[in-house]
Amino acid sequence: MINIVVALLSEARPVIKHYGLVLQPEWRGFPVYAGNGLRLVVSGVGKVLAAAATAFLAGAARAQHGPWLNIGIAGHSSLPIGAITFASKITDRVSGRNWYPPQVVKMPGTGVHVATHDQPVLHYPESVACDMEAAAFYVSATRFVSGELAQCCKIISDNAQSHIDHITPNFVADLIGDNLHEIDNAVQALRSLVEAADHIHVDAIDVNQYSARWHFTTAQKVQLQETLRKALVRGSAEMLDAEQWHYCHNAKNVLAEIDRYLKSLPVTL
Amino acid sequence: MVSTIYIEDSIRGHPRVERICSQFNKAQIVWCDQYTEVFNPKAQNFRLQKRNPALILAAKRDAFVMQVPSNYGLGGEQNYYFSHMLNCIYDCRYCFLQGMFRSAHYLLFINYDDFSTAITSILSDRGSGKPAWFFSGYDCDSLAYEPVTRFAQYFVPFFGARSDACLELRTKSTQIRCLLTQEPFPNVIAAFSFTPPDIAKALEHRVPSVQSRVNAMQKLQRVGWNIGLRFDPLIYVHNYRQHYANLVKEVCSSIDVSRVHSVSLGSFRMPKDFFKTIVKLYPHSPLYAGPVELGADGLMAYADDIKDEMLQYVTDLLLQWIPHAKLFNHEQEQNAISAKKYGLM
Ligand code: SF4
Repeated sequence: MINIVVALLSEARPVIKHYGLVLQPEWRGFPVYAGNGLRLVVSGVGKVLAAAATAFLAGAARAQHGPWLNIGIAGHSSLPIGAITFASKITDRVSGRNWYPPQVVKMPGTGVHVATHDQPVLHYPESVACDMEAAAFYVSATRFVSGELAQCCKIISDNAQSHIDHITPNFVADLIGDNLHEIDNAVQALRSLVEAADHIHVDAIDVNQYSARWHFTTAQKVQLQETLRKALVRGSAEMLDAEQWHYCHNAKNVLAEIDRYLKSLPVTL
Repeated sequence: MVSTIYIEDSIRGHPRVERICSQFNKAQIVWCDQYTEVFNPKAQNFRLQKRNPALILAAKRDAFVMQVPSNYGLGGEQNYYFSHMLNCIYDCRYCFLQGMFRSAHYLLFINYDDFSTAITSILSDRGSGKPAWFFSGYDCDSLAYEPVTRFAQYFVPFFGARSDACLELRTKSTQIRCLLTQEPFPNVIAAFSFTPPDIAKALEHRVPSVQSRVNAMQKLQRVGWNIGLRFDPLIYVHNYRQHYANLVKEVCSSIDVSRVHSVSLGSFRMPKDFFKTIVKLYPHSPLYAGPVELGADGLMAYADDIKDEMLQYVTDLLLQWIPHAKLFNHEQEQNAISAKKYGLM
């Protein structure tokens, strides 16, 4: 599941339409749209709301393993209106802290330094894209996933020649709509990365069969999990069946028996 | 090919930075205050980053040279290591760097002059005595990234000009051009690491084949360079004897063993915390599901019976080719089997 955070409904609309996302009425607090392996939350403008909406989506959806994409508009001194960029560096202008989302997959457009401000910016610093959410989004998203899986995509809406006063909801929707192909490339790139991440993740092995028969202390349960992980890697899926150790009197015996069995297997790579 | 280069602001314009950037003229440049902002954050996944690592160019500011662990060395009285680079372009599943660093980016310290000043100062403080040893392949492969780092091009002549120090270049690479194009120095050792081909195929990703490493050693020997052989880590599989017998024979019969500087060996071992981190990154790796356990020394290692038997067996194989004075067991403090048997202690 890919999680998308946008500040404005006008930014969200083209994405919602493109992916056929549907409003989830049961979600309260922030509007959430979902469908086709994507979930989108409309956070509202600013750092506090961006961080809250990201955490809200992560917590409520238990979306810990999905990648995260922040899509939004930004101002830049020189890049043309409509240019798509991604954040290779993010700075929180208030605290001065920097983050560098690792670029493992090719993101669309040019990499830019995004500076997150508390107020709209009227004077553009050189070569920096200015927005109001990226830093908070990144900090919040990386509580749940590693940085490779949290990316910010910014579309230039204003620059030194064309200031923010002409930004309207329709203009914003058009900017995003014109870049849907590139946004989709970013979504696909993140999908491929999350497949790799999923491969890394192993769900906790179900040891219920074992704990229903014998009493395992907390430490013994950890040991059992680890022993069964090794057994599965070494191709002994039948080890998950607790029945075979029916003759064991207690958890200690079971662990010793599994260990003995593992030692009897040839070690290969 | 590196697609992103992070560079510390303070080294903007440094000639080595300029040269490296011109080698990667399509890479995006991201400026940072300190490399630690990029390299150290918690929210990074080494395995994902290994798919496309970036290059970080930075200046090291302290701790240029460190003392090596007590059981690591080649008979010298004083042993140091220094790391111009953290991380490696290869991807060996047994590598402890995966567990030590959060980031897989290649971090290159470009202030070589500061390293050489620190080495000079250590050497002048210590007075006379046997030459001190400096090991360079501790946190990276010494030669693998030579076309970018030009590390050997700088440090080999630096050590070559000194009679009070020796340098070990530890490598699995075939990047030996910079050695072939200069006169050999007797106090610089190119030490090649080996695991048997089938084990290498399973565990050493993107690494040149055993055969091409042997070819590289042959070329170096032909023009007079000192070479070393490293069988560390020894990896256990149920038929390891056959694998290691073939490997030792293949390597030793292909080179002039009488001119080998040194041979060292040690079995697979790793600090517990690194091991745990790697299990999380590679839960499906058979290496981390094998007969490895926590030893009294706090290291995860093969069970004593396996370790002792394997070290003994490979030692015996090597002693058919190499005199015992040239053989160093890097576990000798933990495990004295071979040392006692062959009078090394
Ligand atoms: S060559 Fe050495 S440093 Fe590089 S990955 Fe392999 S073990 Fe690690």
